[in-house]
Amino acid sequence: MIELFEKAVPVLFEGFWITLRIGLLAILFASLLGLGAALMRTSTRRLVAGLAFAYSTVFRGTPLLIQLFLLYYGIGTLDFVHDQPALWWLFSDGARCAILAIALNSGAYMSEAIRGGLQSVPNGQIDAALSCGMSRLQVFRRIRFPLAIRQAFPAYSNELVLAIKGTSLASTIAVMELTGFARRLMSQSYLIVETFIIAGLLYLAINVTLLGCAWLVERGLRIQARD
Amino acid sequence: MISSLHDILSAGWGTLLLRGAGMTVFISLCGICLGMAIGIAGAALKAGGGWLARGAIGLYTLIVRSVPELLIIYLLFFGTVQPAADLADWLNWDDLMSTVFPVLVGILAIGLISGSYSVEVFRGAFKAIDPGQIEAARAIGMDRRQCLWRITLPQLLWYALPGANNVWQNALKDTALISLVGLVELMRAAVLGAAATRAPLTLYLLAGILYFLIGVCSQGMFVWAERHFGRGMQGAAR
Repeated sequence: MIELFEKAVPVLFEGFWITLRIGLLAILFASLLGLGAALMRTSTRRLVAGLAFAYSTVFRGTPLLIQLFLLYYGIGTLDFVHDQPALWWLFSDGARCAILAIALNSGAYMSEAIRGGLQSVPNGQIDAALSCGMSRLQVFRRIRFPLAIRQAFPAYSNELVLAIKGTSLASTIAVMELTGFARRLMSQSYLIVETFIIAGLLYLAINVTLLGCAWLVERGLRIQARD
Repeated sequence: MISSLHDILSAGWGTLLLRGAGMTVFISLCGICLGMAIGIAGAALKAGGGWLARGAIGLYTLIVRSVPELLIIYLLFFGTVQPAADLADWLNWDDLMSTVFPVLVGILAIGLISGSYSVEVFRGAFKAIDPGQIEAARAIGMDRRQCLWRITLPQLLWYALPGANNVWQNALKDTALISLVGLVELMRAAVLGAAATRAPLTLYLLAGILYFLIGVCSQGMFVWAERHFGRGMQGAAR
């Protein structure tokens, strides 16, 4: 048992940090994408709203694994991707592809959560702010965004867990993160349940910490609302 | 791109993809049936079981929902592959090991994963049924079984439909992960085709379109089911 921990724990911890890095970067980009797509969805221009709808439908309707394989194995075969150094930098590296795929996938789900929040802001409040003489940007910063994010935050925080779980797929394109190392330990040794428990606890730790932070933010938002 | 698409389809990869899609639907359907059973039993235990049963269900949903699906599939696969191989060897069913075993692991994995989400779906649906209706059914002389079949279950299923739709869509997409332990479903068919034809972009796009179509069709069926089974309900709600 002690031997197991000496062997498995350092290896899994190595993967843990990579999982954490991929997950947090993906969540950052996904949040920006989700907010952008949600704003596009509420646009009065048909084309803009339609594009955002198509994005969220396609990325929510297909498995993340296929999106990841399309980006990593598919896009990488295109000639112009080889010729563009910036594109090649992005698509030649497994970890970068994984961050991109999870961000695109998770962003699609987040855009639905944030859209719900944006639509819950009463039109009268926006009209009132506009008639006070605020610019569109000011209305967004002071009225629409704060009100929308309060409404959308619980649904948004669910997506954080899903994004972290999505990072496990990076192991399928040869990125050695937590699940990748766990898989290797499971198939090399007979320590299957033990490896699962340690890796599972590490995932649990990330998710519980994230949800704890989300809970703090949610509480903070409510206190602000009372002022 | 168009010519390569024609080559790929005439080389038989199209049929393999379609057969893979059939396997995907089969695994998802069997898996979600298992998941529904787990969900109904779990919801009943959470509502009326002792503290031990409630704790066990809570622990199960917490673990399955916060650990990546892929890791759960690896646990089920690597945890059972050795005993299953020994059993197949003993029974002289070695050929079944490569065909039936991944299917069973897949159904079990999808069942356990979708079950953890179904528990909450059915718990919500149980709560949505007005207890007065069950009292009324008992008062007009129905026994417990009649009450369950005529009053509770029809309403329970209708209230659970929107949640079950979400669980189904996720189950459908989670089956793609079973390809990583050797099951030849849609995703694995695309991987095999991509390796053989050296046209990964086309193959993965085709597979993605098939996943999307299965999702859209089942979405339509859920919309129909909600309208069909909710006829009496919507009238009552108004």
